[in-house]
This record gives sequence, structure tokens and C-alpha cells, in this order.
Amino acid sequence: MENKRTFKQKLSDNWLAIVPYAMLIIIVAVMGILNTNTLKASYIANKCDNSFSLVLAAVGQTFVLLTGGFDLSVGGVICITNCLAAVHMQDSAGSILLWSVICIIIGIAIGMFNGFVIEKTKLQPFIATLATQSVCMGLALLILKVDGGKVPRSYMKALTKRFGDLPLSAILLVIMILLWLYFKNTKTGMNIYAIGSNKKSARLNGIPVLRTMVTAYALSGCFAALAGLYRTAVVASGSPTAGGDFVMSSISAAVIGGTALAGGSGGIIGSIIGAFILRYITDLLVFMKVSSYWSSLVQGVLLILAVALSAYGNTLKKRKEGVG
Amino acid sequence: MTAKETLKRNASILLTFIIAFALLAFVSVMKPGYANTANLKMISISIAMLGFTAIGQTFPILTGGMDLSVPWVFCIGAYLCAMLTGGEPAKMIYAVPVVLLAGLVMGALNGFGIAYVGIAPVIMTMASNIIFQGLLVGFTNGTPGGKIPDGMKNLATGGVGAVGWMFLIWVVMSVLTWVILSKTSYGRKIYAIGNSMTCSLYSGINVKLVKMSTYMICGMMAALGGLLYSGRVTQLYLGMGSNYQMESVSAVAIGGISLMGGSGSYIGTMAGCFVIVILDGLLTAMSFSQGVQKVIYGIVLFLAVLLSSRRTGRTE
Repeated sequence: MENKRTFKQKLSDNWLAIVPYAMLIIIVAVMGILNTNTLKASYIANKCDNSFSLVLAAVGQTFVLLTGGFDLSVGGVICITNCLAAVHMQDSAGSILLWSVICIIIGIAIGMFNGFVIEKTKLQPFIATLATQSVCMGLALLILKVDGGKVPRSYMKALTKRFGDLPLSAILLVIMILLWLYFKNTKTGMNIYAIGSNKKSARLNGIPVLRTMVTAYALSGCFAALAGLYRTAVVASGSPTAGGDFVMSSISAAVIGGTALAGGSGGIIGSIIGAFILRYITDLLVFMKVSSYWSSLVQGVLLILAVALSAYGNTLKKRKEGVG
Repeated sequence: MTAKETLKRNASILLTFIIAFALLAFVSVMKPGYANTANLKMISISIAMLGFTAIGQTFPILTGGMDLSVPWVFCIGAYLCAMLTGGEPAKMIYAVPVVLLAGLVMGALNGFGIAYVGIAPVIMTMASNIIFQGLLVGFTNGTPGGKIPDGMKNLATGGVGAVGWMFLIWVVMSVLTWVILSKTSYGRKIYAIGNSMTCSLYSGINVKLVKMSTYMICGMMAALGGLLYSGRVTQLYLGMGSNYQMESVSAVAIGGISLMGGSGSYIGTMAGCFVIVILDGLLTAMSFSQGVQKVIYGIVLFLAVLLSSRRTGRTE
């Protein structure tokens, strides 16, 4: 009896959390009706591969958003790692491994720098990461002037591998979610949420704010580097401007997935759903024969609706808490 | 406030201006002949163009918000001007008010979503930016046409000596902006909201309305910027305003206005515009590769903001 009530209460408190899932299901269903091929395993596997870079970027972005910050340098890190991998990777296991590790280290280093500077100098994350983003994109241009480069075949094959119809990216996705479920309840995970809800009281409660901030931004940089590496395998070339699109879409994905920009609430599972929603929507518009000229309009409206809904939900919640 | 105090308070802004002119001096020494009249006029016009969007951007940022929809409002402003006039100067009489009105309406949409619905400014304006993009691209099928009256071209590219007409217009509007922000009750309300929304609310300020109005001003200024910019280009193109999205925010931040809102002066924004445009010109004049340009730009942006935010912190 008591359990039932708490479940019902939980549902009425968290109905917002279901919205992104419902949205994704509706989009997939509508697409299935318009074109039954989209429900086939091979199509979904392809979609999973194509969305995975954005998923990684959005996951990284989420850690920073949870602290109440922003990471615009995600795009820059993707550019750098994409270019490095496309230019330097040779077709041997050693070289592939070496450059993957170098890219990840670069991502983490840039992230740590962001986190450290933002916490130490009290610069606004928006402007600090905007500067890092510019520097990173410039460096990417120095590594590779125009789109191109050569990506080793074995690298591409390894990352887009299929086990039957099951793509490697789906397996990684599941592993990532499991890791997150563990991470969420670790000390660092809790500290990230605490800082996002109220930095001052987090500090007063003895939470190591600097260390946690550096960790959050480093995670963002690390995931951005992974996104860049994965993009290299999927697109099979490097581009010094590849990351530009990822900045706003990674934030959008996280926000659609229910992560609050103010920090302190949300999580990466929502961001993963959000990333898939964004990627599926573009396809849906094609299947609905919406002219590509209008597609950005639809995406914008969708984003506003998703966010307005969660803003409305928060107001309701506040009102409820205020009364009760 | 004594004169000394005033100077101390505005030392940061003064320093930002000094940095801007030092950069200009540097490039004219490195590249003899760079600082000729024609080139200086070009720079002054570019400063004004960034300046129009930065005036707008100052208002929402002072309330603790931000407007990322500047680029496509800018573009729509330019396109509306070309479409409505069709190259006939006489039609400017109603084209200008319509463009300004369109900017106000687009800003009102942003402001409504942010102030009344409660959407985070960054997300709201980012989304509306792509909505405006969709509207413009959709209605024009991707090829904005239309003709700009010749008078606009003279206004946008002409001037007296080394100073463009646009620069003079910008200075006049800047004085107006400064007066509004620091001498009127409306301006004080904007600062109050940026400092503490709750306090402002309990002091009887109509927080939602004032917040919405700041986005309306920003939209209007972006549309005006687009309208004036249209005279500078021979052919309208999509993405005319793209640079102004981050540059307008950077100009405000370099000028020492906190992105949290509530502190800083508009004069700083003016200095920020100088720094960004002169730095841009310098990097191009020194014929650095695009990559090096971006790296240096990022580093300077970082240092400039660091410098000005430090000083703001100390005066508080």
C-alpha cells in the first residue's frame, strides 16, 4: 500500500522525466508509419552509429551543465581530435592506440584547464570556454587546413563493427549508462550535483569545489575527444570545422533530455535520449517531405516546446512545494 | 564621488581603450600605410556595425541574460529592407519603421519565452535563432534577393575624413544608451534585476516586463544593424550576421559587464567593440593563417575578459 502511494507520488513529481522518452517513442513510431524500413534493425543500427558522436558530446556536456556551467569548447576539442586522428593515425594497432590515447589526453587537459580557470578566476564559463573554443579551432586549422586526411580502414571497421545487427556503439552506450548509474552515487558524482544546486552551501559543507569542477570539465573534454575520435571513424575523414555544430546541439540534447541549465538536476541518460531525438528529427522531416529550408524552423520550435514544458513543470513543482 | 574615485572606478574601461589603441598603433608600425584615411574609415564603420548589436546585447546581459538570436534577426532586418524598398530610396520612409518593428516583435518573442514562460535565456534565444533562420530561408527559398537603395550604400560606406557616418550614428546612439542605462529609472531597474531578481520583485519592479523589454531592445538593435549593414554589401547573403552572435557577447564581456548581470558600464562595451574590431583587422593585416588568427583571438579574448572582470570584482 505504502509502496504504491510512493510510486504514484514519484510519478506525479517526475512526470517531466518521462517526456523525452515519450517524445522519442512518438518520433520513432511516426517514422515507422511513414516508412516501415526505419523500424528495421539495420536502419536503427546505422542511426545508432551516426548519432553516437553527438551522444558522446552531449554526455560530456551534461557533467558541466550539472555544475551549473557551460562548455562551448566541446566543439573545439572535437575539431582537434578529429583532425589529429585523420592526419596522424597509421594503419597499425600501435599507432591507432597511441593516437587515440593522445587525443583523449588532449581532451582531458583542455577540460581541466577550463575547469581550473573558471573556478580560480571566477570567469563566466560561457566566455572562458568561448575563448578556449577559439584557440582549439585555430589549432585544428593548423593541424589540417581543409577537410581531408586519411583514416585507417581497420580503425573505421573496428569502431563501426556489427555483431549480427548489434552495433558496437550500442554496446558502448549500455556500458556508458551502467557506468553512469554507478558514478552518480559516488562521492564525485554527488559533489557535482551538490555544486550545481548550490555552490555556496556545497563549499561550506566542505565539498572540494575546485577538484570537482576540474573533474566535471575534464570529463566533458574527455567525452568530446571520444566524440571526435568516433566521428573520425564514421565520417572517414577529418575536418577543422567539424565540431562547430556540436556545441549548440550538445547543449540542446542535454536540455531536451531534462538537464537544467541552472545545474543540479538531470543526468546523462536524458541527454542520450535528447541526442537521439535531435538526430531522428532530421530524418523525420525528410520522410515527412518537409523542405530542408524549413527544417531548422521545426527544430527550433521543438526545442522551445521541450524546454517550455520543463520550465512549466518546474513552476508547478515550485508552487506545490510552496503550498505544501 | 570624487574625481579620483571616478577615475579609479573607470580605470578598467580606460585600460581597455588603451589596449585597443595600442593594438592599432602596433599594426600601423608593423604595416606602414595601414592607418590611412580610407582604412581607418573602414575600421570605424566596422566598429559601428558591431556596436549596434553590442548596444542591444548590453541590455539583456545586464539583467543576467543573453541574446544569441542576434545573427538571424540581423539577417531578417537586412532582407526586409531590401525586399520592402526594392531599391527605391523613397520607400525607406516605411521600410525603416517596419524593420524596427520586426526586430521588436522578434525580441518580444524571446522576452516572452524567457520572462513569462521561464525558459533559460541561452536556450530560448538559441532556439529562436534557428527559428528565424528557418523563417528567412524558408520564405526566400534560400536565396534572399532584393535591392538596396543607393542612398543606403552612401550612408553605409561614406563619411567625413577617417570617420564613417555609421560611426557617428553609433556614437549618438551610444550616448543615448548610456543616458538610458545610468540616468533613468528604467536603467536602474535593469541593473537591479541583474543584481537580485528577488529584491527587485519585492521592490515593486515589474521584473517580467522589464526583462522582456531588454530583449525587445536587443532585437530592435540587431534588426537596425542588419538594415544599416545591407548598404555595405553588394549582394545580400545568408549568414551575414553570424559573426555578431559571439562577438557582441564578447564585446560586452571585454567591456567589463559581468555575464551574471547587474554590474559594469555601457562605456566598457564601446571599448570592447574597439578591441575586437581592431584586433580582427590586425590579425588580417599581419596575414596570419586562419588557424593562428583564431588562436590569438581566443587568447586575447580570454586575457581581456580576465583583466576587466578582475577590476570589476575589486570595485565591488
